[in-house]
Amino acid sequence: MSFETLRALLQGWAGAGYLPGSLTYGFLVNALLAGLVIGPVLGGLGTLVVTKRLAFFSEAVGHAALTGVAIGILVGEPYTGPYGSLFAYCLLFALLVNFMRNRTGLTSDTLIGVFLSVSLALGASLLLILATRVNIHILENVLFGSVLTVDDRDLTILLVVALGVTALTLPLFNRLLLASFNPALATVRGVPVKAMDYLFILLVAVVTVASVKIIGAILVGALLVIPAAAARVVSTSLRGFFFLSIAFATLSAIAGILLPVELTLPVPSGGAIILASGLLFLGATLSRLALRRTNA
Amino acid sequence: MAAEALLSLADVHVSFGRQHVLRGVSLDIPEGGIFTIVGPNGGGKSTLLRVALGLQSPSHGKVTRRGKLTIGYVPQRVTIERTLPLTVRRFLTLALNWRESASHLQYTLSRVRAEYLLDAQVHDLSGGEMQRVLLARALLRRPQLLVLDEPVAGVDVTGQAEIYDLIGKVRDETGCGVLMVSHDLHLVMAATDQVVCLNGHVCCAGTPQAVSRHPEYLSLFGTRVGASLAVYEHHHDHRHVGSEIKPLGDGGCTHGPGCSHG
Repeated sequence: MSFETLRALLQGWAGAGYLPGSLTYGFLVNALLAGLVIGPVLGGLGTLVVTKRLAFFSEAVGHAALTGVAIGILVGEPYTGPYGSLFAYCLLFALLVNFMRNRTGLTSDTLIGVFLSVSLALGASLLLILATRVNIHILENVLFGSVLTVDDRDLTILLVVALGVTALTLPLFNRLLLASFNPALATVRGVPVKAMDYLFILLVAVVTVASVKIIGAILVGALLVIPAAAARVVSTSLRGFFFLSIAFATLSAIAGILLPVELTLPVPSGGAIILASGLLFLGATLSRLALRRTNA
Repeated sequence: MAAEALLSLADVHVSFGRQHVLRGVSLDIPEGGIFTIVGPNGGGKSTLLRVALGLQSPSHGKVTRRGKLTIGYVPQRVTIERTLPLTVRRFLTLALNWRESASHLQYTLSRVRAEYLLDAQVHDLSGGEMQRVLLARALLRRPQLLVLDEPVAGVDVTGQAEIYDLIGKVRDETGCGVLMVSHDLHLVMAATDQVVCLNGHVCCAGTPQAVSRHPEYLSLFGTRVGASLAVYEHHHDHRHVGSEIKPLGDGGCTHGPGCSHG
């Protein structure tokens, strides 16, 4: 089935009044499809990001996307989707941080702090050089996400990445979890801990890059962290934690994409998605506090 | 002996930079024996354990494991964040390659007297309960060799005796070999067949009774510790007939300095 058929179907439903009216716009259907793919993957992967204490890392990889975009435009990739440079730069960034973490003996927050700053400095400098060449406002889309520019190519990349990440992560979920509790224990159990660490951060980097279009480079890391954090606060089982995180992320993505258009607010999709997930986090925290009080 | 050993270390050296942590350590871990490593801080106990587990390769020397040796490892601690919802049941099945039947989980937990914990949250466990769950975890795969890193760290004294007791019971039931590192000299001496006192090199080795009287051991831990150590023995293992001391069972124990009867 092509995206065209799916788009026509959803637009038809929107026209008939089953779905929000804004979905009669083809570009918004694209954005929604992207959100429906990203949400579950980011939410599910986020549970491991939070458990493995890689929140700061995933934020940093997201920010690295900014530099990746700048390099892409510099070398002449289309500014609407400089995927070559994005993937290359973010993967390199992630690999380098992990490589150095195993060798410098520095704690990962220090190391990420160093790499993040240098990468941002590089990205900012490049962007200002580029400002004379391209319309800098176009970059807003890259930084904060846009529902307007998601095309079939973006959707295809997203779908492939999402399927790949899901296929690799689900069977390894338990092992990754055990390795985060005690790496030695996992190693004795025959889990290749180092290789899986690399695999995992590569997955995070790939998902981040694929999601940049809709959430934006600045905020993409947040959707790996906030829904999982919110789910963690209220869940009472591992299963609940996992599925609630998926639900929160998906809900945030849908709300962030549709609400600004429905309410005609000039808010970028990335900002709206993260604000929505922030509200969910707030709600989750408050409900936990309320529960504590009743129990006490 | 060496041919039958589950695990053999031959002249193992480990150095980190200029620091020589292990110097020429040789050990044979026999089947069915409880082997305990004691020694001062920085004496290389943990490093030796890591070498035995295959987590650290020696700079020099040889480690031989019996073919297809299954090792059950009980780490000193696992870091599970307080907010992570995780039941003991779920924790036990992490990284198992097969779906473990509920009855086997239940049975394994009952062996460490922790069957009532199956549906408890991991972060609600006390130190002793957590150690027992970790022990059960290691036993799930029916290991031939059980490796424990300070199995009673953070457990109160009554709990400590119980855990050493459990380790002995597991060995009796399964015939597995046991290699453990311990800090506390007092309790461990009672629960072990062989003691190695490690301070970079093996400064003395043998039965608990022999080691606790060894001059090197005494110079490391001081005579005061040595005197108060009072090696505990199972009273049932020997008896006194007139003025004679008769060991019971094969080997048995000899009359130790702490033996208070007859």
